Amino acid sequence: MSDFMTVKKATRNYQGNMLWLSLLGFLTIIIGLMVGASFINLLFVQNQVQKLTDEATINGAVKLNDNNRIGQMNDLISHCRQLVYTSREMTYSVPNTSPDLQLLSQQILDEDRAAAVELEQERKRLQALCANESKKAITESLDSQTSIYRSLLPWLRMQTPHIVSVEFGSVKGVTSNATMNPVLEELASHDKSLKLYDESSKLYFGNIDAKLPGDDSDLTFKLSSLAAPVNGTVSPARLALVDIFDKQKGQQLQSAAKVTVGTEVKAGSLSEHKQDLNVTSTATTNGAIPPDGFGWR
Amino acid sequence: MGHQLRKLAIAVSLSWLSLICFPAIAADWHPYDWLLTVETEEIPNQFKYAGSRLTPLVEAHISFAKADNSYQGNYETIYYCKGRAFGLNRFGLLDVGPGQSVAVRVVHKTKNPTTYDYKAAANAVIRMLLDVRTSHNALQSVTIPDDSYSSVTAEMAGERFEPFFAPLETPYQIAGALFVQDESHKHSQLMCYAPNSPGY
Repeated sequence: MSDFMTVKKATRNYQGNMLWLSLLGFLTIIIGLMVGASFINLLFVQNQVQKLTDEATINGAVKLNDNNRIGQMNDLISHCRQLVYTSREMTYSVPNTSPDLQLLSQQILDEDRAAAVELEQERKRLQALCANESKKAITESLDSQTSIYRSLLPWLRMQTPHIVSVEFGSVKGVTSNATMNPVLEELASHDKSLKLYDESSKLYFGNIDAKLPGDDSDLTFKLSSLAAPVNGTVSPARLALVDIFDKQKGQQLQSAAKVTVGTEVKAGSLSEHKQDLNVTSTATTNGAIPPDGFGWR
Repeated sequence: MGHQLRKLAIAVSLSWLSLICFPAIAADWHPYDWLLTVETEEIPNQFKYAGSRLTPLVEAHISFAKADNSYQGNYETIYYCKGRAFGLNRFGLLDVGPGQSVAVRVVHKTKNPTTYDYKAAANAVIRMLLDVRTSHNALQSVTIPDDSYSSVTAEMAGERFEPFFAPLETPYQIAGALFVQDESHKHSQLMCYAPNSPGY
């Protein structure tokens, strides 16, 4: 009898532990699943925010060189530089050949210098306009899609993604789309001595102030970085690595955008744990359109 | 008698031959050695952004050719924004040699030329005067299309090249002169640059 009782007691105890163990096991599995789901959800959210940021950045970058305005501005600045240079050369040669036309040549030089000053003002205005329009495009792109990106789990709450920062600049190592002119030999040798252009491609370097020599060195001719066409092919707007982004220098026209979008993730219902989730994306604008005919049509 | 008749026949034949050939020779003859052509054209879709101050953009492409067309070359393109020169792209030297007689011809490639085409043409012609004179050559004449003759000459006046009417008593010191005519030769005018003359 006592043996029977002993066996029965032992069996009961054993079954009771199994129940608790099973419950504990289930609980562990459920917690594990919840943690796993949370991680998957976080990864999903991060992935979606990255996708959203990439799209907004590309839209913003495309807007920078809308209608090839940066390419056209670079070309016109380079041509304005030639205009002032040739007019100045004319004022040097007129006294020896046609002294009676000295006043006329001076009048033309003054007009050309005034055009260069006006062009620089217009370039600055375009720079501000490009930045504003690009920011607007980024904001609109983000606003149109943020409602889609919501957390699926009740214990993991997300704020609507918002712009943390927008920076403009260029991609390292990209030249401008303006070419040097070998016909104006003295100017070309001056530019070569100052290493203003790449000798293999004959393209001026990006983000430079190509000052003229001598009396017109007070004028500003800022050439910004923009991918030149290669064999008639235009470089498309595309995502770029964050490492190759070069922040805007000296009020140059910008050809790349770096956007950081952030969201706040809150976990738990009793104790609030907040964590910022920031995602950064960089994109470069489309390159210059190749010139057609004598100009750049 | 037969010999005289033969001589007469040869003379008549030669005179007829010269009469037939003369217009061809006359057509080939030009009062200049070189012709500079200024082609103005509005370039569409340039600087299309809000509040752009650089549009419309008109280019004046300048090429040169020997009178008999045996040699041709591209000289430069000047870019005009709202009628003011903003850029230049030179393709080669004005390779006409010294002591030559040069004429300028204006052509509008824009279908319906505007004030900006006329301004560009007037300014380009004046710049050509400087280029021609500094290369030790003479600018003979400027030919302008009939439809834009009055507009281009008016724009030249805006560039300080005034129509010249022979002054009877006032001394007049001309620094530069351009003989301007239309294509049909119905109108012509001497335009003068005389900054040192009284009343100028």
